Amino acid sequence: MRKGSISIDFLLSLSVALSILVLFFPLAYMQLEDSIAFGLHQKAESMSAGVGSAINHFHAIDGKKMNLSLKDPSEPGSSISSEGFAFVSGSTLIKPVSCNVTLNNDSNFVETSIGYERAETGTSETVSAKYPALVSNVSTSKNVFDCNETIVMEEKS
Amino acid sequence: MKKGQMFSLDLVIALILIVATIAALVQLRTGFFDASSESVRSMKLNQMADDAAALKYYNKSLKVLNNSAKKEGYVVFEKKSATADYSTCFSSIRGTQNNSVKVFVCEKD
Repeated sequence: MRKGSISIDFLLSLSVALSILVLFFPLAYMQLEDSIAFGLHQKAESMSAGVGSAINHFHAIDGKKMNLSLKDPSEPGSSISSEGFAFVSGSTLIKPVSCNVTLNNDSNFVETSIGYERAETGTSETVSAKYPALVSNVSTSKNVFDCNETIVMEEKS
Repeated sequence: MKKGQMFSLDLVIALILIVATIAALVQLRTGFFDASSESVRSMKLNQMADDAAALKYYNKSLKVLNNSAKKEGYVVFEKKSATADYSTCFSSIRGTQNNSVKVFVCEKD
């Protein structure tokens, strides 16, 4: 190699390093998106389990009437907007567009579905989770509730 | 670098390290999601066992809960079957020492 010239090793190392940098930024964003989407799935699981367990215990103790608020009590944090959207550096990565809890009388399940949009690609996805609960033993005004509503349930006569 | 050799040993080692780092990151990502799924599943099964114990303690039938649980791949028992083979079981006890009920919620294989 002549003095002052750039070696092929150096050029290859530089191109590999640049490729990794270029590759890692979208990968990091994808990972972040996936983590938030995964968190939403966990939220759906927790909501179903919470509502289902409340119904099961309500039936166990022969409860007469119960008001069950589905509203998220968590305080908005630095990375979560007041509407519950996740932010990173001021931009929305995942935007939840729907959230509802279904009380299925026929199969005795509580099912929570959360629909969201990925900001980067604009694709819409839905996560849902079921929990076995004695829904047929309680009566409610309707079967599908929005996640900011209150379920008023009474013992089935 | 010897004459006729395309890449130096340093570059080969660097490339191996880069590939190993990417593989480790992918593994870490998979491990993170697996661990999180496992913790949610444990929470769900524990909660189901607690529900079943409450129902049993207040003399309610577990039949309907069991029928629904089966559709999701779980089984609710008052007594664990000695012959049945389940990968994961959670139990819950409710009541006093003299008057207690114990139920199991297991995941079907």
